[in-house]
Amino acid sequence: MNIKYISVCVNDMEEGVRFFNEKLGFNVDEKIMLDDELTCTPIQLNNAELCIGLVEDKLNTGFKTRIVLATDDCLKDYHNLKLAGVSFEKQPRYLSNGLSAEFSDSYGNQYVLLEERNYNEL
Amino acid sequence: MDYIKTLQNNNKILSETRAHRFQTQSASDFCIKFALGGNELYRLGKRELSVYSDSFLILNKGTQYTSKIDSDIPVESFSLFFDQGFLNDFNRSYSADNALLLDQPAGDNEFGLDFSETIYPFSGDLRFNVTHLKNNLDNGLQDELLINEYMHHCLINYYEIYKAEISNKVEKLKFRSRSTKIEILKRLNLAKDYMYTNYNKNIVLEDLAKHSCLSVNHLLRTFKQAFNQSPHQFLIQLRLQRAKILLKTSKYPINEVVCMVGFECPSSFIRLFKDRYNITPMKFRQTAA
Repeated sequence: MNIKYISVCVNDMEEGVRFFNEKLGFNVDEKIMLDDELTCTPIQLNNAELCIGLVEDKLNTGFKTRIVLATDDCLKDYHNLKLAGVSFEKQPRYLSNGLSAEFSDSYGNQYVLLEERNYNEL
Repeated sequence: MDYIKTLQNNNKILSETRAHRFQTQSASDFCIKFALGGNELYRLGKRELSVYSDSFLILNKGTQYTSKIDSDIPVESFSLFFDQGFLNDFNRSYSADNALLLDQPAGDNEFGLDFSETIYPFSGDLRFNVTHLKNNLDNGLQDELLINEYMHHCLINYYEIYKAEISNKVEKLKFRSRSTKIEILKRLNLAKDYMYTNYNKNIVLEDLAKHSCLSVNHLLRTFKQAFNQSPHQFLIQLRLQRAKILLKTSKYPINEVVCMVGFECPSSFIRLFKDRYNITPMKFRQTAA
C-alpha cells in the first residue's frame, strides 16, 4: 500500500490549477474521477511519486491542508516564489532542523518550504 | 573560480583560487573572509590569524592586513564585503527584532568593534548559506536581489555566532566589572586565535599564556569559564576536527594525518577520535568517501 494523492481543497479548480502550475511550477495531469461525483486534478513536482490531488470544495466544507515542501535551497525558492507573486506569511526563519518559510493559497491551505539541514556535518 | 562582483548597493563578493599569493591591503569595508579547501594566513599588525575551511575571519573597515596563501593545492579565498549603508540598515532592523534578547542595546557599534576581529567557527547556518551563495555565483547567478538576500542572511548568521562567541562568553566570565570581562575575553581570544593558527605545532601552556598576556593560572581559570573547557581540551578538539576534514577530503595515510594535525602518537589519536565521534578514523574515512 502506498500513498497516492494528498487532497487539497480549492474553491475554483481552474484558478487552483493556475496557482500550482504558474506560480509554484507543478505539472498538471488529466482529471480523474475519485467516485461518481468527485473529480480530482493530480498535480506533481519533479515527477515525485506522491502527488497532490486538487479537489473542488463544492460543499464548502472549508477543509484545509498543510503541505510541507522540501527544498535544497530555501532562500532561492523563497526568492523565486516571491518573484512569481506568492506572498509569504512567514519569512525564512531558522529552526532546529533547518530553514523554513511559509505561504498559503487563496483558499487557506498552508505550505511550508523546508530546507532540512544536518548541523552535525562539518 | 575567480570573480569580483560589485553590487549596485556596493556590497562586494570576491572569489579567488590560488596556490601561492601574498598581498598587503586595507579592508575597504567590513568583511567576512573564508578559505575553502585549504588555509590562508592573515597578519594584522603583530597578530597572525590562519583561516582554514572550518573557520572564518572578520575584518573591520580600514583594517590593514597582509594575507598569504602558500599551499600544494589551490585554496579558494572567498570574501563578502558589506557596504556601510547596508550594514547600518541591517543593524537597525536586527537590533529592533532582537531588542528583548540582547542584554544591552545593540547600537551601530555593537558588532563593529575591533574586538570582533578574531577567528570564528565556520559552521551551522552560515556554512549552508555561504555554500549556497557560492555555488549559485559559480553557476552564474546575476540576480542582485537574491545575492543580497543571501548576504542579509549571512549577517544574521554571523551575528548569532558573534553572540555565542563574544557576548555570551563575556557574560560567563566571573568578574564584577564589564570592562574587565571584555578585557579578559580579548586576551582569551588571543589564546584561541593562537591555537587556531598553530594547532599543528607543539603548544606549551607558558607560551600560550605569554601570548595572551595572562598568567598561566589566570589563563586556565578564565578560559574554562568562557569556553567550558581547558585550552588543552580546546586544542585537542580542534586537531580532531581538522583531522576529520583531512580524512574526508584528502588521501593522506592516517599516520600522516596524525602528524599533520599535531598529534604525536597514532594510537592516542585513534582513541581520542573514537571517543569524540564514536567511530574510528578508518571507518569514518570509508563512510565519508
